[in-house]
Amino acid sequence: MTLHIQLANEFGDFLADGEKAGAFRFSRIDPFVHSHEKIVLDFQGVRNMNSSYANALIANLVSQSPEVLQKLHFANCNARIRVLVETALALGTEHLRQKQFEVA
Amino acid sequence: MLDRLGAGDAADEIAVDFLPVTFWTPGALVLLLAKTQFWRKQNKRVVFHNCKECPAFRYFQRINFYSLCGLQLPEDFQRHDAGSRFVEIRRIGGEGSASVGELSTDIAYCISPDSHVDDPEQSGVFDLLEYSVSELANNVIQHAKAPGFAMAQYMPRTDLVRVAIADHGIGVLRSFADNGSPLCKPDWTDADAIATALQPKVSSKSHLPSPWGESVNAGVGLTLLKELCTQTGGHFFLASGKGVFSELAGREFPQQKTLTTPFQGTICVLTFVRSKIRNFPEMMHQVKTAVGLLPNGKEFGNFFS
Repeated sequence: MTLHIQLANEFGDFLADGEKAGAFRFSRIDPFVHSHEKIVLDFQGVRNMNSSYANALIANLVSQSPEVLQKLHFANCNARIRVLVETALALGTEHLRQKQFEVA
Repeated sequence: MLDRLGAGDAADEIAVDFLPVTFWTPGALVLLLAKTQFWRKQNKRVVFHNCKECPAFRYFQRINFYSLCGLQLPEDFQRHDAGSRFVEIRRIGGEGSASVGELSTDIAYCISPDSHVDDPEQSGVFDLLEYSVSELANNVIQHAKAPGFAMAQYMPRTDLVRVAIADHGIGVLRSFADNGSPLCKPDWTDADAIATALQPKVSSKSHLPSPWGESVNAGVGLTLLKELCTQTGGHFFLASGKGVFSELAGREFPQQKTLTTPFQGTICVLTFVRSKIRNFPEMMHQVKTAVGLLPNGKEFGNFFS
């Protein structure tokens, strides 16, 4: 089963508010990670995004567990979105590695 | 100007004379607004002299400068939509203010309506402004604990785009201290706090969980804005408390100054050379790689479709 989220439907064409991204992740993605095989964040209709939003949504999602990284997928990213998603992925995986190191 | 206005903090009544002034930058306007709000909150009397005699009187009225200062002056002109001719000063946070996204898109549109297109080769100015205003506005909302003001301006003669945001909140040092940041040292100065805030992956709140689990602050916003300014041949300016940080493209080292009297909140001014602004995703990729946020050789291609 796939959790498919159209971000433009929730936030419009510019994703700018980190607090709202954090709240959205907490209520609409985190509870469904285990029950879905794939999580698709769909950027169709999104023109631009900032780092605050990308990191609050994606970096903090990825840093939760290795399971998220295996399930996560991004659709319809334009060039502006893609560079910010890649940085959020890099930050998230770095935080994840730090957490795993602390646990070990 | 920061020091001159700071002198008002010790007075019960502050008089501001507009007559000798013919040109105001966005930084000067939002700074005076933030200071006026701060003084009024402290029950000081603020008097504006020669408002009507000032050559920019109607312009100041139209961009809502006086009304945001709490001064309702009758207007002898018809208000038309600002369109792309000028940018009204916008309030950040507090009752009735627009969302960060709306505010940032509006300001970017006013400065560069022609570049509001899909093609990143042509939309660089719009994308950069929208991104920059939104990051600074998020900082005000997340850290300042008081409203702020935003303004932008393009001067064709100098080809400079300026974005300024000022608030009369708690400032950078107190944000670290009040949030119990492990980075904050007892003997820290405002300059120390600013220098730390400008480092990548540092935020006064990054150690704190948010209501949504982990902190929503990755601490990369100011670092990237500083790099974007210098990449376009521009200038980055940040002042808070007694600390002033200024970095000009082409200079080997940034400048740091200490003010005589502290500025209660935070002011940040970004200056870009418009003709040097190009494809925004490429600029972003370059600055992120430069500050170590995009590790070289790391591939994420299999995440995208």
